[in-house]
Amino acid sequence: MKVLQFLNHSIHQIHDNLFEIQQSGQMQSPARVYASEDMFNSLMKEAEPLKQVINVAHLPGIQKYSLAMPDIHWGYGFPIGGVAATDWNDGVISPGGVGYDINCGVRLASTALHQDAIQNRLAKLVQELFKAIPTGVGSSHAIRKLNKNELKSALKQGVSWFINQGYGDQEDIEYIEEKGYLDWADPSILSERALERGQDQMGTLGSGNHFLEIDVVDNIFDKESADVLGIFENQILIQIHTGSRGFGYQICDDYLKIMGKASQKYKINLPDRQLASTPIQSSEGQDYLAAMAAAANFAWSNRQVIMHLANRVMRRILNISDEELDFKLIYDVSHNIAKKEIHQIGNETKEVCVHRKGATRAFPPGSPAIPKKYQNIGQPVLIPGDMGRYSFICTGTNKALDETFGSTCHGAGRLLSRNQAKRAAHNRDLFREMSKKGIVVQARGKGTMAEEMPEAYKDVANVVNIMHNSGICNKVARFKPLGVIKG
Amino acid sequence: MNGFREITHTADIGLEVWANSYENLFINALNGYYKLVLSADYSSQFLEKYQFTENESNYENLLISFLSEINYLLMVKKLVIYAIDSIKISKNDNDFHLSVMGQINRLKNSEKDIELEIKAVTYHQVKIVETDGIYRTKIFFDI
Repeated sequence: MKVLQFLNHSIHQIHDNLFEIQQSGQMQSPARVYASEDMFNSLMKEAEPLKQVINVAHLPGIQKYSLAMPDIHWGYGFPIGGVAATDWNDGVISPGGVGYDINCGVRLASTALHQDAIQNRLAKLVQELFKAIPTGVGSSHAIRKLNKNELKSALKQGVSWFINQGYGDQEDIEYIEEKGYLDWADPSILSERALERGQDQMGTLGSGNHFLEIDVVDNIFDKESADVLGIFENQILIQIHTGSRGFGYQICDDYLKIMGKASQKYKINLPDRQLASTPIQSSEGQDYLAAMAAAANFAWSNRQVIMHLANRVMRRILNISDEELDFKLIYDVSHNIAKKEIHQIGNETKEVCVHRKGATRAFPPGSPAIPKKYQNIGQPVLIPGDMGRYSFICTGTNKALDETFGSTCHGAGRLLSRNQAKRAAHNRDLFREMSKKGIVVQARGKGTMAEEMPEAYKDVANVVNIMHNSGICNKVARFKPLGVIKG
Repeated sequence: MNGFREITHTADIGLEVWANSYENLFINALNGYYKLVLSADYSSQFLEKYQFTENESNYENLLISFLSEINYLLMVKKLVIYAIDSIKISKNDNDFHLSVMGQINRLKNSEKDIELEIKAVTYHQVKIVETDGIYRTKIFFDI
């Protein structure tokens, strides 16, 4: 076994793609990082993300390990790509383990169309999707503004409230993590500011790395699972990446403030203010969970409304019927969330609070939490890449349940900072470069194209392969972008 | 000795701010934030007088609360603090108090004028350090 040293921590290489930082000092558990040797060496040089994985291991009640996925990068409190499970009865909850964009996640929908069915309408499709789905800073009014009572009902009921308003089909519910709602959401405890921010942002993408893509399936690795998922070569898919918008940011802001005080009240000393935590069973902990659940319900609903708007645009622009388009939700996963789950800890079956911050749930075949249709293949896991290369759909495994609380990676991870990306993009026509690759892009923000250009991200295939080779998730198919709308 | 500069972060953005007093540090942080977020030629018109008060348990939390308020005003209400008439920071045992009075303007074209969406002002690495009369800190913004 290879032994390394990081600061005053000793690190054991468990296998080609797994490193364990030994427990020491005030750490309550060891920490584990899934990464190739090259990636891990870079992380040791960068230092900050590894320090954050170690900091997370200080959380009271943490079980087994503080974990990091191979798309790990510098976050706030938790690293992006971080997973931690804390004892439900004696452990803590940390908003830093969820992030500002509560229930940011990915949704993938299939169509019956082959690439050639849209190719000559692609530019028009992108243009019309861009018109129908507000993007960019503070984007709003995709649908009419909800009054506060409507919003509260929607936050309580999640996606089903919007389906009852005509935004999608009842069967969509089955294909959303947690069926599109957490039943412990309590809108009555939310701040006026949070409610205000939620009223007009439903159905909007926002900015940054959020996107809607028209993709085409270009590689199938597991034909049997792909058949179950309804995926075939050359098929057109729609992929949506967004979250709870300003509503979620406000809730996180509100509760980080509360948690800072609660940490002092409960004498929880942590190495980073951004990790501020409170006992799950405290009033502050229960309130945060109830508020976070409202934001989670908002985010699932947001992706539902966007999918419905995209469905309408596609039918109109391609001039085809519902049956011809056959738009179906494959799955919707969250990658910024904390939830009560039951896991095996040693010989004990325990209730834990699993924080996934830039990490995706990846439950195995047979799990009661996943749709009946997918019982034999495992939960679909959606892992988007950058706008110029490809994204993956994988499935969860039993090994994930054993090693990572049923979690895997969530994306490519950034390689260049915004300014580095802008410098790399200087004097280049990125729209033209993308067009040469056959990708039509429409973006709202001045700097979005530069900041989000493909070179700004790691190759997502390297990230996915680490988790596939570690047995944490199985690759099913790869799809590449044809049309992209961004904030 | 007052100023700010943008600092890099892999996924987000940050500021390093320095000044010869806490009050000027807060003003520089405000100016730095607007430099990151607003277009250079943004235009706005007077709306009303502005007053903000806040109590916190330390200077760092006070700064984050102040910038979070500024971020909320801009991202949600499309308002900028155009001028600060007075700013006072005081400390009484463990109670840190901020009082700001100024002028608030509404952006004329927020879609054009706001170039960057900031989700939140974070507590990451925020630590105000005073050396030879100069107060210095870093602030990171989640975008």
